[in-house]
Amino acid sequence: MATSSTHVPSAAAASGLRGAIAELWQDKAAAVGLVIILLLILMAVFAPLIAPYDPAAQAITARLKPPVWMARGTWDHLLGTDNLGRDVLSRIIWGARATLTIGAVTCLLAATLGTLVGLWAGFAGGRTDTLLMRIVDIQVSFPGIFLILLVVAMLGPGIWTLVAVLSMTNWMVYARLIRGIVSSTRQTPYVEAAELIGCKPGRVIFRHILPNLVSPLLTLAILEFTNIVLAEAAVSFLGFGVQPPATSWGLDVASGRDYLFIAWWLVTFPGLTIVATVLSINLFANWLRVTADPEERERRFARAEAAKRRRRTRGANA
Amino acid sequence: MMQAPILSVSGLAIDYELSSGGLFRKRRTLNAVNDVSFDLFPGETLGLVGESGSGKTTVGRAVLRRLGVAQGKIIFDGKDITHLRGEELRRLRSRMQIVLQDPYTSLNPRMKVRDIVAEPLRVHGLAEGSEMVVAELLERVGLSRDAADRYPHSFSGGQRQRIGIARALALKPSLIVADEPVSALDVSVRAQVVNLLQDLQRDFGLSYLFIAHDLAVVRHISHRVAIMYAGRIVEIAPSEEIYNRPIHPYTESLLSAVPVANPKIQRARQRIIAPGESVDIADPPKGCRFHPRCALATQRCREEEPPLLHKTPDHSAACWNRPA
Repeated sequence: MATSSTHVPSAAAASGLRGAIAELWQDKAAAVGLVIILLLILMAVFAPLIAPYDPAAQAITARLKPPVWMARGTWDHLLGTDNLGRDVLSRIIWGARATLTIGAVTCLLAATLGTLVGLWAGFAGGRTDTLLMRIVDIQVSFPGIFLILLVVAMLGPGIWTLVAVLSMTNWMVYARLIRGIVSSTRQTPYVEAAELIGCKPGRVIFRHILPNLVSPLLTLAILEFTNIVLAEAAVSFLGFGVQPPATSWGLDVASGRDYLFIAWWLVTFPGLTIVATVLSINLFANWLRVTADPEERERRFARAEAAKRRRRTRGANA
Repeated sequence: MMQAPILSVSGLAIDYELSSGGLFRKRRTLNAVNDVSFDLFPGETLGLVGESGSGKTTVGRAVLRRLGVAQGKIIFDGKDITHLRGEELRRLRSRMQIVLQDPYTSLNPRMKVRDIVAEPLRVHGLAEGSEMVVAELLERVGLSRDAADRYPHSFSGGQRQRIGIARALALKPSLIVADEPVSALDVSVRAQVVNLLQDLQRDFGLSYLFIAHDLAVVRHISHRVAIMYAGRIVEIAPSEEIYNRPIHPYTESLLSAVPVANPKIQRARQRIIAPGESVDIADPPKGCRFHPRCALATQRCREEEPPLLHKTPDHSAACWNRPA
């Protein structure tokens, strides 16, 4: 089975984007995930056009309105309003900007920095390794909130300060993970073979070691994305992050906490949005991980083919 | 074989670093191989035999300059490569290659066979026309041309080892270090791969440093055999000579451990057992390293280490008690 299925994925890869889309469609959950991610990004980009209200506009007369399907709900505020009469839906739409930017950029920066340090430490080994990992230890034991206060005091609050600070406090976990994988991969016979063939270190790292890091990196980055969203909320809540009138999902969740028992929608809807985002990324990343591994990719392809054949025979029998 | 050796190793010693030493620690090393000398001639196979930990793999890695050499000299094709570094060492890689033991881990699972076999060509700037070369190599090692488009996981162990051999051959090396190339394979496949190695040797004039612990395979493929014990060569001689007239007591006990297929002969044979465990090379005994297990050991063996001496013109052994 493996033999007969081998040519098709590579043929699909050859036809480029269309092939990739066709392959993605095999995994419906991942396709849905990607669609949701794209919709969220579009929502953030076109926030001014989509949002029914200014997210910062207060309306004292319409405070704490529940969502439309509840007894006191109105069609004016689909997802209700908060304690200052601000429209929850509009805030979610606008909040996507800060949250997605901070989450994505921070994850990217932290992962890049951590991966580089981890690769360096794991590949060089010996004293370099010891030195780099001690730096990581120091950074880990350093209280993050103190660092944040320090940096915010220097740079002033804002989205980019937040990105910088959160990257600086979150890269270590990548470094540790990557370093472990690299130093064990370095011992594998195929890496030794590559070195004995005469591959330069750069080629060994990028061709032979880096591909092994794709799936753990994706997994970790997704876990970290949630962490970053929550960390951003905490920092914003303290007044050092996203500054009103701007908003973010995390900030909404954090500030809605006080009204949890009288207005559950303040926490629930931004919270659900975060869940939907992370879940979508997760589904898509899972597909990406399988795609990056030839063996699993062929297995998936074989499964899809088998399912297709089953459907066909069932159709013929009916 | 009166030509110049392709590889000449003399007085080789290799230390492993146990701890690199830091501010408060002392640098500690383990002497894995000591005073190893041998010559390998063009088109010849030298079998390197010994139990686990005897240092045979270490010697192979040192020849390929994967390990630092503490002492001694490695001369390859008339050139001293003992301390070659950087770009020069990288270029040397095209002339000496390795076939690794485990075919399941020695091929990158994320690369197609085409890329695996073509990689040596690419990194040495010979990518042009590599497509043809790869197809020819695959055919030469007994795989079909369309194997190139597949990933290693769709091949069996024997086929993977063939891919590994094709990769080693890509740069037309003159020396191949085969590090237990068949010990991870099924017995049924073993013979095929050994025969392939022999065919390739005949066709390309390759020299093999064939590291193994399977005495039958070594006897079949090797022209000469060197027996290692605890980081030293204890005996070296032409293959038939060593199997028929072993000199060193360790070789004798090693050979007597190989079962004979005929049960009548097998029952009549006398097993020569070396009691005790293999030597701890971190704390080797004084004198001959084999003396605690040797039936012939005398006072001299306990005090003085025997040198590797010619007992007959082409048969050397390191034993005080076995004159020629």
